[in-house]
Amino acid sequence: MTIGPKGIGPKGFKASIATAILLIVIVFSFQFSKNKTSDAETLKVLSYSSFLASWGPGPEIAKLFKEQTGIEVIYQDADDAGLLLTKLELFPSDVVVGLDSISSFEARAKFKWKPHGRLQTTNWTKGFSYDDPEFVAFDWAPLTFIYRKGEITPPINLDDLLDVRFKNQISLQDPRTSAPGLQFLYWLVAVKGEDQAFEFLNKLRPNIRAISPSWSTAYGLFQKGEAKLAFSYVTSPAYHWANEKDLRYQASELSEQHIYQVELAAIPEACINCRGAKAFVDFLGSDQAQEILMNKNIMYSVDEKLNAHSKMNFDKLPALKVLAPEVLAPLIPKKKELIERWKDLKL
Amino acid sequence: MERPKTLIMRNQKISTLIILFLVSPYLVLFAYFAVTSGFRFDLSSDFHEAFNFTLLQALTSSLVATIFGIAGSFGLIGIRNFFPHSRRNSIIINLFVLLPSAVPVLFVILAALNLAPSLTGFAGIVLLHALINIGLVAVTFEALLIEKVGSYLELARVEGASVRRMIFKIILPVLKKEIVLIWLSIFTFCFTSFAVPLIFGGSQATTIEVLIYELIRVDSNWGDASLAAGLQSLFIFVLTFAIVRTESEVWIRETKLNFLGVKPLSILIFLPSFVMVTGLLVELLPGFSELFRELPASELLWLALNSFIISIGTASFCLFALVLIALAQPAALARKAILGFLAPSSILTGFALLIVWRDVGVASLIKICIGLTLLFLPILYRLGWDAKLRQLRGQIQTAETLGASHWLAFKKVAWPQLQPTAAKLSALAAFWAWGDFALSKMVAERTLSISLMVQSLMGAYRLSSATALVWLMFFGSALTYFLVWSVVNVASRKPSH
Repeated sequence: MTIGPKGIGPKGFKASIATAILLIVIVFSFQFSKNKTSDAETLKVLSYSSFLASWGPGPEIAKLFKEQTGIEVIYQDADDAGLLLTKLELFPSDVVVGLDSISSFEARAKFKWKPHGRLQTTNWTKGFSYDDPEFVAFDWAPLTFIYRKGEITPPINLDDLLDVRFKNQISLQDPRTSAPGLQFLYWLVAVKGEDQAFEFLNKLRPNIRAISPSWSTAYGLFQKGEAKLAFSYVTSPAYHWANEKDLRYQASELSEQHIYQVELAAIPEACINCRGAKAFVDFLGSDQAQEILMNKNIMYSVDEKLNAHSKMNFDKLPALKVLAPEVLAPLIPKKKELIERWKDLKL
Repeated sequence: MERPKTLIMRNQKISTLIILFLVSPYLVLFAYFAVTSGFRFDLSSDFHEAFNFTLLQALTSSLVATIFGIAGSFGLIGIRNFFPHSRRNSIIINLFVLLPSAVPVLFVILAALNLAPSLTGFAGIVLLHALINIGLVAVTFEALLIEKVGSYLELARVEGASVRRMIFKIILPVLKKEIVLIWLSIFTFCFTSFAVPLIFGGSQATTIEVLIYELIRVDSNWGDASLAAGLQSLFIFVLTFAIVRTESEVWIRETKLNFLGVKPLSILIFLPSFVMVTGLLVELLPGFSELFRELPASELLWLALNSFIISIGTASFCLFALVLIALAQPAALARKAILGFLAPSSILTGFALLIVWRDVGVASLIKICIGLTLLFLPILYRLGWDAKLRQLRGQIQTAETLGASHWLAFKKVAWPQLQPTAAKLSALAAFWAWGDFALSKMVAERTLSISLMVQSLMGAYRLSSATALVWLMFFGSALTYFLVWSVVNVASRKPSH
């Protein structure tokens, strides 16, 4: 290498380029070795980011599943539950985890799915059940308004939300970009009827603190004290009880039947490892997987017995009355129309 | 001085190739929808509404940023007088002022979420856009003042003109064209901004980028989303075409304009950086403990390595493309086409890449690098490559007239002068690449980079961990910036004799 006062000469130039290329080759080789899968049987599972994240239930479930079956799970990240179907088109998978009652409607229209039937361990809570031959429920939770004890008197019904004590205090989600946001809209329409639901939303306007693009942002506003009421899962307070030892967080119990979020797994007809896929979906119903889902997804198990003894203290949450799936079913195809009307409100 | 026809044709061919590369996502998307849906588009009145809102917020944001940035440039001159004059001090001040514009938008968003999570609506968007751009406008305008009108101003001062008179009689008339160009680049940034309106806009703030996301997210309507992106790009293209009519003259000379300094105005340029740094510091300590609890060190290392690969790969592709452009010396139409070109949104560019190449693993990393090159190249071209090429055009033509081959003229005349700029621009691409999440999340089959993890943490409202990771990302990107800059710059030096 010729290094002079002005810098590096042609040999130096070549050496720099060679070093840079070598560095890239080493790094790429590392990548290849990392991406190379073993000879073990593999299963491609498509899910959303927070399921697959290190703090989510995905990695632990995959580890246990491999220990029990020898099948290695390769997760594919759809980023957002709303993009699951789009990503399925691009990344063919053996199992899709994270659809819900609304997206399963679209999923059925777009793809063919293998029948599976409810998980053997399913034991729904009294007054609610969700069974579908193709889309298998593996966890669920009703949605309601979360508040902090001592900060505000919780609402007792939907109309109570219009009360002046909630002025500028309610944190909601945008139904266009957030699943809970869409659930809230469906809830109002299911309980009040379409026209009355939009009238109600219009009246609710002064009490809305913000309509955020995602559940996390809306709930974050509430956590930071910017709002006193947030639309979320009834199980949300359990997270604060268990992880922050903060018992102020509570779920309000409204007199109306509550909307719910049920998470579903399904096997595309075009699966490659269909046997492994069936085993994985079955495994989601095992006590071990259900325990992980309760603790990390902070959602109810589909087995009521487990909820009662959960270390998350689910038994201390209010037992909410829940809408029957049949009430919601006719509304699901109207999604686009309802969102258009919601947009017209310009909340 | 006429150039040989064969040479002009070869240059045109390279220019055409570059333009084809840039428009390739559009070509892929439209071909895909022609095949799958027979070109049935149905962009409703939503587009009209989104267009109006986008125009309004972009106009307001860019005007606020330009006006405050220009005012801030006088503060910048004032604050420079406060410190001893040295190149190092000047660089430190510039780096601090440019921080919100240089770092990926994710940094600013996270800082704002930490400090003022309820900042929403039209005002929220305008404020965030202004915070991001004021420093950039101030530094650019200060450079223009010093280099372009400095000597006139010195003369005017000797003649006893007041500062007010200098502003209205010299600065504004002489720099009119440059001010419009600065405004145009800020306007383009605000017009195509996605994450800021999505997170801070609230439910009424549907910009075209948000509409594209909504079309994909709610309806899986990729056809209409592509059409909306195409129309958005066409608008920016026409606007640029209409505004960038003449070429500004080459700089005159450097001058000292201490008398123009207004120290109190420096608050305008320091506040955005201060807000950003404070916002990222408040959650730092709890963030690191939370981060290491949630992410194993091996995973962090793996994510950092992938981000590094993406960064180096993107810088290499961008450098290659810049060299090609320099070889082609695009003129007239080709130059304007690249200047005015706007890539489709990150998500659509990612989708186009997935249509043509569905492999995963290492392929995902390569796709991200290609996608980022598509997104960054027009910006890098506007950011200094075009100006540098224009400066050298005369020299290259002279060398060719004197008998040098096109390659020799490029190698011996153009390249040694271009390489410092090439080093800076490719290093900038490396820096930005660390912060991309919008394109990566579309292309990648899993959370494979630091920025994707930051986004994932933000999605789970783990803002403290995300903040800690953002600092790691910042150090990684700064390190890669200097690495790329050094490699390209060192390789440029002439051999010593």
